[in-house]
Amino acid sequence: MNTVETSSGREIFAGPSRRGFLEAIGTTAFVLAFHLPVGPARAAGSPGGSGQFNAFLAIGEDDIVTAIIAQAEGGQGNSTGMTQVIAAELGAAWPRMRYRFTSERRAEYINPMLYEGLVLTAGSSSIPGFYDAMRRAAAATREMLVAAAAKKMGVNPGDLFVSESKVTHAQSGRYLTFGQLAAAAAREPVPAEPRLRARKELLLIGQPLDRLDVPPKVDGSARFGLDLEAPDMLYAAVRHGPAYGSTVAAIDDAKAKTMPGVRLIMPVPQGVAVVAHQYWQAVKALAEVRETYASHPNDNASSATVEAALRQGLEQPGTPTMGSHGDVAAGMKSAAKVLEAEFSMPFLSHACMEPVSCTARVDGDQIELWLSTKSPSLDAGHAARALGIDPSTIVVHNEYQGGDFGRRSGMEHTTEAVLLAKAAGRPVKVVWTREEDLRVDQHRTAFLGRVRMGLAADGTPVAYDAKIACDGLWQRLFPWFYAKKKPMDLPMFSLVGSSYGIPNEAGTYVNVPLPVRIGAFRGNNDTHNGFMLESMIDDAARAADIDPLAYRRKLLSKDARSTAVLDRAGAIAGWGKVAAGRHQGVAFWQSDFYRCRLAVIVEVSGTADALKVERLVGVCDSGLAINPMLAERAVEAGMIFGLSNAMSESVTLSGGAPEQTNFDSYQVLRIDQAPDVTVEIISVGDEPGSFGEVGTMPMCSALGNAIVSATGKRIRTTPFGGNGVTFA
Amino acid sequence: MKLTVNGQERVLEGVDPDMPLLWAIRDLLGLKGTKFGCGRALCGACTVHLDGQPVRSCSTSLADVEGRRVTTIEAISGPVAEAVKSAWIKNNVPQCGYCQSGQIMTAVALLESIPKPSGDEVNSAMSGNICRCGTYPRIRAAIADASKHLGQ
Repeated sequence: MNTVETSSGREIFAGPSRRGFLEAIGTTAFVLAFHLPVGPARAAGSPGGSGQFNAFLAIGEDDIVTAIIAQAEGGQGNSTGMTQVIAAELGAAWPRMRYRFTSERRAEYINPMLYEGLVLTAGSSSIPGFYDAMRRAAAATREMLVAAAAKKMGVNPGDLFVSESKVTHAQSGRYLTFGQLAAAAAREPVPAEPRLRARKELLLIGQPLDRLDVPPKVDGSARFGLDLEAPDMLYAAVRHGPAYGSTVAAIDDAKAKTMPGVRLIMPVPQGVAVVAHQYWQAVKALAEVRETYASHPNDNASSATVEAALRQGLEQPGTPTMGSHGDVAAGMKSAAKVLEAEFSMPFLSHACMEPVSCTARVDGDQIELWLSTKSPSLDAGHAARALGIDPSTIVVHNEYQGGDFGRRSGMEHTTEAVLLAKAAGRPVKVVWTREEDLRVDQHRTAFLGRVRMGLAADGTPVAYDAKIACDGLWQRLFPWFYAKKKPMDLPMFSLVGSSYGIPNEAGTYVNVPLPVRIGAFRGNNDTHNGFMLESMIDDAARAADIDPLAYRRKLLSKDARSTAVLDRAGAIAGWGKVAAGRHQGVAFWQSDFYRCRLAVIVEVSGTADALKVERLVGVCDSGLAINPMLAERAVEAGMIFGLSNAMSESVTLSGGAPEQTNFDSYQVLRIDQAPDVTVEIISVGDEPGSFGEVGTMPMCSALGNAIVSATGKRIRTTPFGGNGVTFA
Repeated sequence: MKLTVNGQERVLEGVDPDMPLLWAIRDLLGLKGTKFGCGRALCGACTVHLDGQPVRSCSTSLADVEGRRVTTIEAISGPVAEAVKSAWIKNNVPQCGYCQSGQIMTAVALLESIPKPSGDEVNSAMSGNICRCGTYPRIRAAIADASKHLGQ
């Protein structure tokens, strides 16, 4: 299809030889990016040993059990939740649990729910993805502790039980602590099929334990990627060209190179960098560098060309999506009424509070990276590709991340850091300014969608036809994965086939390559698709003059878990009984991948000229909640994030460049506009689900539905602020 | 260039007086608890106390702090600071945690000047500090807890 030209725009290296090289090794770089251990890591008891029993835990002679966390902690609380799972299965005393992060690329750290071959934190799946593996590792360790204790005590292993970091002989009450047993236990054979504890034995599961990472985040000692240092390092400031894919044509550094502290000024793939002894020296010198950029097709990109490309995309046949079923044409023909509408959302930026940075040491074949990352595999792959080396020996260091929301990996900053470190002959820390962080993000794709919903005479939906044009996350972020799956891509999921049981549905996805970098974003396409479906369902209820909550409840009546979240949300929010001047909107979202059912109610006051969001209520069932407090906070935070997206966030393009460059123009929610929030978690069953992103997914539609209640206006474009309402 | 940082007199030799205090704190003095967020005093992540008043260190030059007293998250102390930090822990406020140093520094300054702030006063004082994780309801609850504790 003829859209904004991008095929060359995606290649950040301009030279033909470079491109050929990339084609030769590009995708395999990621597959090679693994560093598998040569043997079992079982050094407990050995001099200087780590006490590590397996990939997931270590036990010290001081009785401390350390959970080894390979999933990135970006605020979601997985470092606490994963530690809790290990403690529960092992039988450890909670006050004696610690955790440490690892960025090792081991097979055990590849999430079976996600893309093959990557150590990656994504899809709100740290707990569901590793629940079984962590429990097996902890159960195996527990059996080794029991075996060692049985020998030491001279008793039958079957007469021992494990709790509170002790192995206790039931009859006599004699016990040995984990610390006393660790060295001997490490020499026991590793059971292949350890017995997993029954749910009722997992005493720590379901407990609202405090976050373990709070104290270091309150006293300033927590270390984020931007805080990590390499010995003897220099600092770099970078500026990228206006458009995605820009390359430097010429650099005038006559003044800059004479400035204090400046060590190196050189082009990087999309821009120019200054390396200096101090970061401020680099920033100040960069302000004096004058560079020009080669013309690039993306230079002409604007919000208007993006919209035109998406609109043109909707005219293309596209790909039918999963979940399509029945006969939509016949369904529409039978309908008493057909609602039609068009929806759109802009690009968004993650705007993590920690701007992007990467520190690199390139010392011959010894390469280290220090950064906040959700995927050491991807970042080692990016570094290896930039240097033309085997990624398996690259060491990645990662501790806390100052927000993620899908952002935390990236070709650009990793590439810049290794190229600059190599050229400078010393470690270099690249720190992006907020302006670069927002402009050169891996943006949430913009989308345009057109939907029709056919309603029977009683108002029930009988047909749903949804077509979307947008860019594809897999295609852009995981091209080797996409190559195997295409044309399937993330936007196709959850477009149709909802749990509303509409008898005839047709979903169509049209991929439109867009002229900015596209990446993962909290809520991804469930936010797009949910915005359309939940707005249409609301309009259908209103068209039938049925209460929107009751309408949904009736359609979902076969699923008690769905009606339960709707009923609880309604009860907490006082649905239908709000004070004069207050107005409510409801939305619901269900996803099998996230195992979630979520009902959200938004309450607003005021008029279209001065609308105030007063309160959010969310009730979420995502299966078993390992830690209901963490789950509650994750859903609450996801809802606030989605509210911010819906109210005020937008990235517009002009001359190929995002126009929003700092928090004055990219407006995220601040405390003075933040509503009160009440979240309730309904924990169900034995399988943990997801909480990190689900709160975000229904927020645009819930707020939009509240705005209809308050003003009578249906707004189908976000952000709502400036597109029909003004927020007080 | 002399200044007092966390009670210690520090001498910075040969530094650019235009350098923002933030980078001196982080890169020259090695105090990493104060965070870089925006560089333009728009987000509050870099908040420190200058002679007891909250300032955005990313937009405060070294020339402006010569001879003055700077306090960072690592050394903030006293009854109000202790109450705020305890309330932050009790309420499990942080998520990613990156903005929280700045949130705490601003909250301490608020409660030092207004021990019992109204909801509007809290919103107004804290509106310069962005939390992208959206911990705002928990920040409000923690400030209320700290205020209550201090009033006892």
